[in-house]
Amino acid sequence: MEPIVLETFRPGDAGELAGGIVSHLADLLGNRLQRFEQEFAGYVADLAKASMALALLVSDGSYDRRQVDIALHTQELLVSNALLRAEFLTYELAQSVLETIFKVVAAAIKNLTGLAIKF
Amino acid sequence: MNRRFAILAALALSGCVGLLPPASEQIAGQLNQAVAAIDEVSEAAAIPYADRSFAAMQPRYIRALSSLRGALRAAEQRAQYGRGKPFSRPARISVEAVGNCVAAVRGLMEINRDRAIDERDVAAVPVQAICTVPKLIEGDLKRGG
Repeated sequence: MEPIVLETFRPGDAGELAGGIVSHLADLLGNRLQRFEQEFAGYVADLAKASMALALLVSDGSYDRRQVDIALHTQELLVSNALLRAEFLTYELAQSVLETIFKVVAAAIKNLTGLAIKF
Repeated sequence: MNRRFAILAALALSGCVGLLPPASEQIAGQLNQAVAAIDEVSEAAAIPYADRSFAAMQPRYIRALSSLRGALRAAEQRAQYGRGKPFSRPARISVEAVGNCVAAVRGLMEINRDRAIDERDVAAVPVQAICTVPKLIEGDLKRGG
């Protein structure tokens, strides 16, 4: 789909407006998903590294039961924070989607009616 | 024609819904300080033959934990303010992520109290990765989501 230019975007009907919104959303989503993937690969790598390090510490007798418990609990905290981060990013993405939609709608209204809407 | 624009305008006005809590300079600053202190712990732990006993490391833990306490308090206030608002959950997420970071720092400190730590302990107890999460969240809020 042709990317639309907001300054001159004058949709003739609802379908054209929807098309304009979708082309902007596709841009947004593509960029974000790539970033998310990289970030979460990092958490997985850290977790894997932590498990291996703990296995070594246990096998050479450096950690007693209590220290293993602490380390395992901390690794759970990493999973917990990665999940919290994912949940937060969902809200952030929803906010960006809303903003993108209204940016295109506002541009369409402005170009069609001259009425500038701010939000 | 008019009705269609009325609908468009109504849609546009509802665009001011905020799904994200307001950014906080205080939370961001204190998290930066905490992460800096945690980085110092990791760096110090990786230096061979250095003193990595609890006594040597203690000031860094205290610095991290006291910054985190301030960040946690401010995040809790923000969550309180967000109750019943669209951003109530993301505000809670920030509180929980900081809380997990506090628990992680305490965990590494507990282990350090029993033994001098080195890079293996730092790898097994991934405090840095855990505490980066609330920092990233605050950074995103600052940039406007």
